[in-house]
Amino acid sequence: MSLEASNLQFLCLILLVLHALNFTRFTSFSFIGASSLAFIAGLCFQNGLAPSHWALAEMSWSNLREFFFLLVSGLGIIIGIYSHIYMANYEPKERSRFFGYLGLFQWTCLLLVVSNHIYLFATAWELTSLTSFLLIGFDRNSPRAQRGAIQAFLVTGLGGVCLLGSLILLSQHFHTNFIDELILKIANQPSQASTLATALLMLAALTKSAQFPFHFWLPDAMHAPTPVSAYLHSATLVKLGVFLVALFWPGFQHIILWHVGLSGLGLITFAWGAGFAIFQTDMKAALANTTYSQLGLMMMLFSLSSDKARAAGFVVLLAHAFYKSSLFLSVGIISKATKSLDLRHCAGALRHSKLFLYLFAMAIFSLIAAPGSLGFVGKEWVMNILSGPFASNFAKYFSWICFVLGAYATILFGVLLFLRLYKAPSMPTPAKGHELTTSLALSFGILPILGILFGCFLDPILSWLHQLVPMIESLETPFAHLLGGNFFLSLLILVAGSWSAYKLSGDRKFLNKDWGEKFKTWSFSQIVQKICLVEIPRRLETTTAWFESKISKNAAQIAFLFFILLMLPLIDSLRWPALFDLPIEALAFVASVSAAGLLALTIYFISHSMTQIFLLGTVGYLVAFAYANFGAPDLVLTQIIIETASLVLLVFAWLLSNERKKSGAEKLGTLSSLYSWLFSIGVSIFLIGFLFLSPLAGGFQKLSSLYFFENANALAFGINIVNVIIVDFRGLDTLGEISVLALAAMGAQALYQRRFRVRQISPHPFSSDWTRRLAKIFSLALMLFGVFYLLRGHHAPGGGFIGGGLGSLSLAIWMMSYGKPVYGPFWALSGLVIAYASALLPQILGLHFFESFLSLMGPSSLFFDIGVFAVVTGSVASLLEILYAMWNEEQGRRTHA
Amino acid sequence: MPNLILMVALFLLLCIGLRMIFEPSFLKKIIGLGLFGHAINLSLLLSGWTAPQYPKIGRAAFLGGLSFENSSDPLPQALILTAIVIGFALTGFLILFHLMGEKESS
Repeated sequence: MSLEASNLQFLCLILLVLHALNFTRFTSFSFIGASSLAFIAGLCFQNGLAPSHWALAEMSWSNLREFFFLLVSGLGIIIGIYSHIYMANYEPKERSRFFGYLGLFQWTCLLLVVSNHIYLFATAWELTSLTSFLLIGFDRNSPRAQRGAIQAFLVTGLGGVCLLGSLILLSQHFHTNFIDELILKIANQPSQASTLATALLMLAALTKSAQFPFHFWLPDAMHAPTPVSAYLHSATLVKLGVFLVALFWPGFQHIILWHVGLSGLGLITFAWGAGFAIFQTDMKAALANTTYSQLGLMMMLFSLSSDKARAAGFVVLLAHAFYKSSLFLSVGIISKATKSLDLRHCAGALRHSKLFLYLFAMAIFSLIAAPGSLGFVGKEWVMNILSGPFASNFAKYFSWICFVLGAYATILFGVLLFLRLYKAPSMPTPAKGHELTTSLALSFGILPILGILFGCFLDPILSWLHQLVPMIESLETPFAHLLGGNFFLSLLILVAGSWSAYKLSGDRKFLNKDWGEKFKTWSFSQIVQKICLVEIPRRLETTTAWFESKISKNAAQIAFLFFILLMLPLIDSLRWPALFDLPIEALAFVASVSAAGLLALTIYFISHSMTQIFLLGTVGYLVAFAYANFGAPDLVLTQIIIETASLVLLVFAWLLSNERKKSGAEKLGTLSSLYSWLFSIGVSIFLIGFLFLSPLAGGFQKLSSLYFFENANALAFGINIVNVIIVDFRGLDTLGEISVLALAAMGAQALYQRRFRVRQISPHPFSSDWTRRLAKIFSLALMLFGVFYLLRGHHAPGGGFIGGGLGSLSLAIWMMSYGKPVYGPFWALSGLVIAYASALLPQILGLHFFESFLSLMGPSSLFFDIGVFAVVTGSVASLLEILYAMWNEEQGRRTHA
Repeated sequence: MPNLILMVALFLLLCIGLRMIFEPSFLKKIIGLGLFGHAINLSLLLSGWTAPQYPKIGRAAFLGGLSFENSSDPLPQALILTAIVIGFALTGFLILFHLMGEKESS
């Protein structure tokens, strides 16, 4: 059976639903189920994970996506089983939180691997950072875990921002929003990719994979529960950086900055991490050090432009996935048995169970790349590549030194770890934990065994590599040069490393020393945590306080000064506009705007706030009239509806505000008043100048291009161009806007009662039986009217925003007369879901992200408009509701008093 | 002459709106913000047609019988439409913020 990419979106939805079950009682079962489903589905994608219409299905890196898909989901199964046993003694609530986060992570990671649209890709990238943050900080009582989580999020999150910036730069330059097309276009003209975009992309990969200047976050992320460390911080999340490099390899392989920077930093990381791992006493932190060290090796291999290096990279990656997660899981077992993560207290932990001992030995075997393991194959190939030609002698010596140092330190670390854990314990441990050890070890037993099996029987690996790197001509097995110089060198390193490990394991002074404390003051993570979590917030606070104390009284003067600076370049281009005769609509437009201006002047000189509010409403309606005369019917409707809503809002604000009760409102000082007048007048002249002077110089042209007129009907199937622009051509902007709207409404709810709905609300005191009957009819009619405007929006004035405004007024009437809550956030959230779903819907049907098509019920952007409708309805109504509820509360308090 | 009037009127809206934002009283600030918002929306609308004959009024931007030349520009209209709604949400949020602050301090 083979699946197509159009099934992929369905698969993602099913997986999301399954993972949502993690938050219920099904926890581990739904997690394992979802992982298995994803794994099986991943096996069924014959073509790699590139859909047929992506046009580039046969290119190798679509197989790359499939490989990562299988890696994430396959390891998910094993981690799920392990965590089921490991988390058994946690409370059900904690368990479901754990599996919920883990499931969310897996889902975002799979989404990242399959997504092709740049925004989806960058969003998923950032979401993986976010879920990693949640999982690292899983233990809410540990301040170290919280600090580690924030630090990891800061580093990887900033990397995500870099990724977004780079992708936007590249997509602007190459005129495509799709990653595969982007890579193809860069591959055709590599010199066109800007240095900035390349550097930002490199930064994203380096931060995610914890490479040299950013390596510090990984050891601190180890305060997460052990299954998380094994899953995220050794096998999947941190490999995403490598994934990014491997994905963009066809485009960037010949760019010097790319492969020199990545391979140099990767090699430094390789030696650095392995070296520092030896001194760590915390087992998980030590393993984290070797993790980023190995990632450095992969980073180096994937950034080089040779196919051989790429093949070696895949082998190292696979071997690492096998042994590193099993080492982490073993450490979890040891910490369960000995209640400690400190190497100095865990001697003899390996003796609890024979099975566990063998599995651990196999994993260590792979780690030190001894002959007969998959790691050995990778290492031999790496040495083969390093024997090849170099650009300069310096590069050659540098690479060899880093590699030999790193390999030596890795072997030393691995053997030392094994010896220390195998050494007879100073006191015997109770035997009751041993069964648990065996069952936990069984759950991941397949991983180290696979590492050894693949190392001995290379055929499946070679055929797999041919699939991943099809351009490669021939791959020689590492046993081909058994008697070559490289083989002797690697044997020498192996022997030297093991011998020094044996010597060190007898050195009590070295073993008992707390090296972590020694390095602490100068470690990167200490410095970063101090700066980001202590220094910057404190500085910001003092700066703001200083600024406030200086500025608050002189705001007008300072703003005026800024304005003078702004004004200077404009002064010499000042010219007077010409005068013309105008048609009647234009005159009406001018008349209404000038009436609005005069009213504004009146508003300023009236001191009574309520009058001012109503006059502001009048200004709003006059502006609506001006819109009508300008030929903008959509704006008229929106303006009238929103003006009504904001009038209600302002009246409630006036009723609630303390200022009403104060007699003799405070006034601005004379000097400040003068300066603020000067500032306001100046800014207005400046803005008006821009508006009226520039057209005189330029020719006859409109802001928007002819494009909207020519394509509105053909591409978006609508004739009301304003609405077509909102929901279709600029749909992504609208999506952002309604998200902001929904956030404002939910933020307001949270601000008011820290919950999602208003708790207490009662009917308006003026409402009676007959007003209620009237309100029922009116609100129903308004709602129907709103839906009518929504539905006709594509072809006549109307649309989601206007319909939503009417809907919210209808809800507000209902609320005030019956005293029922409107559930605004519910409306807003479901609207957002509808809007996002309809943005993704075209992908299921094999079209581009946000592309519209003609469905049975009309143009597809109608669904998006429905989402807009619900969001606007919910958020406007919920703002009105909160103010009404506050007023209600105060009213109640007054009757009590 | 109409241009001059339009200029003065927009100038008044902008200027009074800005000046009222400087008032210490919160409600006046909000009213000023509203005026300022209207002025900006109108200016945006005017920028939709940058002809020498200013302001030239078009017909509503619908297809069918209308050409690109004699209709008004839809792009600023789409921008203003969302700006009006977002402006409302902003005002509501600001008011709520202020009221919660007042409640806490009293």
